[in-house]
Amino acid sequence: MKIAHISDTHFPQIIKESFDRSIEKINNSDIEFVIHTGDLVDRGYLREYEEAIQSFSKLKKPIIFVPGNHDGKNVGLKLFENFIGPLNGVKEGKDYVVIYLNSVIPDMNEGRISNSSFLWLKETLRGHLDKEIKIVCFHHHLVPVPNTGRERNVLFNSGDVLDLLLKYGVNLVLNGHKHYPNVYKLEDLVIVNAGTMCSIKTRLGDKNSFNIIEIDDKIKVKTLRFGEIREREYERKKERIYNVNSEKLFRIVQIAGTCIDNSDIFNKKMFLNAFKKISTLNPDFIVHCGDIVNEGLNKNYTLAAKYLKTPIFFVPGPRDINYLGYNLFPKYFDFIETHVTKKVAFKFLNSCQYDSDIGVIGRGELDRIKQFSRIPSEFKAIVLHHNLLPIENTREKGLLEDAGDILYELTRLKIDLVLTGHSSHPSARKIENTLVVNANSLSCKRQRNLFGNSFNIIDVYKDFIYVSEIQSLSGSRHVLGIWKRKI
Amino acid sequence: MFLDIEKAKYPIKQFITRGIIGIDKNETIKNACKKMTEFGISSLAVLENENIIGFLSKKDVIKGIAEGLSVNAKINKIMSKNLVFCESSVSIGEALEIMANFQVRHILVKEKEEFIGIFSLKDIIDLQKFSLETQISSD
Ligand SMILES: [Fe+2]
Ligand SMILES: [Fe+2]
Repeated sequence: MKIAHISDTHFPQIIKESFDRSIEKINNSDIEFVIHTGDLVDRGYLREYEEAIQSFSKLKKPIIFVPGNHDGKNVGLKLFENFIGPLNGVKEGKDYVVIYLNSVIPDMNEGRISNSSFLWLKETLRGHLDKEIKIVCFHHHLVPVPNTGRERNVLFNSGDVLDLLLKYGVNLVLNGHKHYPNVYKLEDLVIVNAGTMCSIKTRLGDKNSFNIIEIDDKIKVKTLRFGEIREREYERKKERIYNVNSEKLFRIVQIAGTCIDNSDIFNKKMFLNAFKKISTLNPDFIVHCGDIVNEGLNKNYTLAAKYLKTPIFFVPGPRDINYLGYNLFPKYFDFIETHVTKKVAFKFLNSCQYDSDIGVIGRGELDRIKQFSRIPSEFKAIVLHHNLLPIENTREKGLLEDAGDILYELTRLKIDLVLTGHSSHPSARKIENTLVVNANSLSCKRQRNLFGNSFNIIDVYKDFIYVSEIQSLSGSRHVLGIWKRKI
Repeated sequence: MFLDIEKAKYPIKQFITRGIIGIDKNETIKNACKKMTEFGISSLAVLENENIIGFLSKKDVIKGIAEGLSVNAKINKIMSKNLVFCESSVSIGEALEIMANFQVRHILVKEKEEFIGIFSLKDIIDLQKFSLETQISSD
């Protein structure tokens, strides 16, 4: 099947030439139908809707409109329903289903799939399990997008939505909102962001663009940027069987959120049991992804130094550098920038800002990451505290402020592994060629995982990476996944 | 842990461990045990030319050893040749019923004529995670 994905027209703030050219291209193509992923109009006014509908009458293909945050300004979603139809819906073909849904919070730029929409999405996916191709569309972006400045407005519950889409084997998700075209493959899911088709609101002085998507054995995304075409192509089939007969290269134990202090926030029993287990696991490296202490106070650091005597690589979390932590962290624990062996090279990043939960990496560090990527080690890992991808069971707040650009660069540089330790929930997802693994807190009472406090082991084999989670209290193991390595 | 009916209707697809860990049919029982320990799992798919031809669980190993087989015997002597499987779209309740009928703790999951994963009784813990889904968002 072949479809066009357009977005963010923002009537009346349009460049008429871009609109006409796009519509003409679509009319003259063999695409089946068009999906518009929101921000049809700019302010949600009646006149704007009238003008938009009038203009789109030139389109000779069926079209699905998905509401965007701009459509919902000034109670505009009522007009959207009157002019266009329901905010959530399903389009079904012989072997495909398109599910589109509202992610708008009226008068807000942020997005959310509401509780009722989430349940509806789940039921609708369940009802269409037999469809070969499953496409889900909503306005706000599911994962951070590059070149769009500060990361904001990703769906509040993007972690849960992503988890749901992966569990039900959705093939394609279409988003708009960021006015910058981008394509990622995350596990088996291809995530496509459209640029703005005709609005003056482009980023980086970018051109207007839209996508043509073709799905057969592959998913091909063509971004038409007027005079320039970008193409991405992904196989739909995935490696399923892994033969244990593969050489084991090394083992990383990944921990986070020890949150050591004198209060009962620090669960000493969990901590001691976890470290008893770690001593039996023979790791080649132990990496601590931050929040060593509960607050950056002297007494906590003294205690932490007593508890953490095993050789460990540390990156700080926001708890480690608040109050006096900024001075205490380097005094008590070594922070090294890189650790390089023949088999593996690590780069450790400080993503924390003083007295703030929000993480940031920054442009200067990006240059050093580029240099690091040229180190000739076989396997490259980046370690930081804050999240690069949304985590299930958590809100989106743990994402780096510059997650869009950092994620883009790390995947482009084909970094093999990224280790993070925010949000207190384990997660392991492969995006493009990069596996991103998040650790739960090891011994902090505040955690979000029903499996309980835990840490991860990452076993790197010649042919694959095998990741499991180990429960701090009992030492029982739970497989998070296994991924083929690029060779 | 109790499984409530409301959740039991959801397809097995959501709960499987993605990826199947397998071992060559010519490996010894000892080696299979080593690998199960190394990977922290209690079953292995048995492979011939990267195709699944059998299934080996901890139970098969114990039974084989109890019957007097050497640890150096090949695993194809003790593996189950009858593969217990279900389609990825069946509900978790249905899958559990099949498992009960065959009296096994693991079931292979098939989609479009291809095995895509394994569901084990242990995975049921994941069901409980469900109750937390999107509590953070509501209208
Ligand atoms: Fe927009
Ligand atoms: Fe928007």
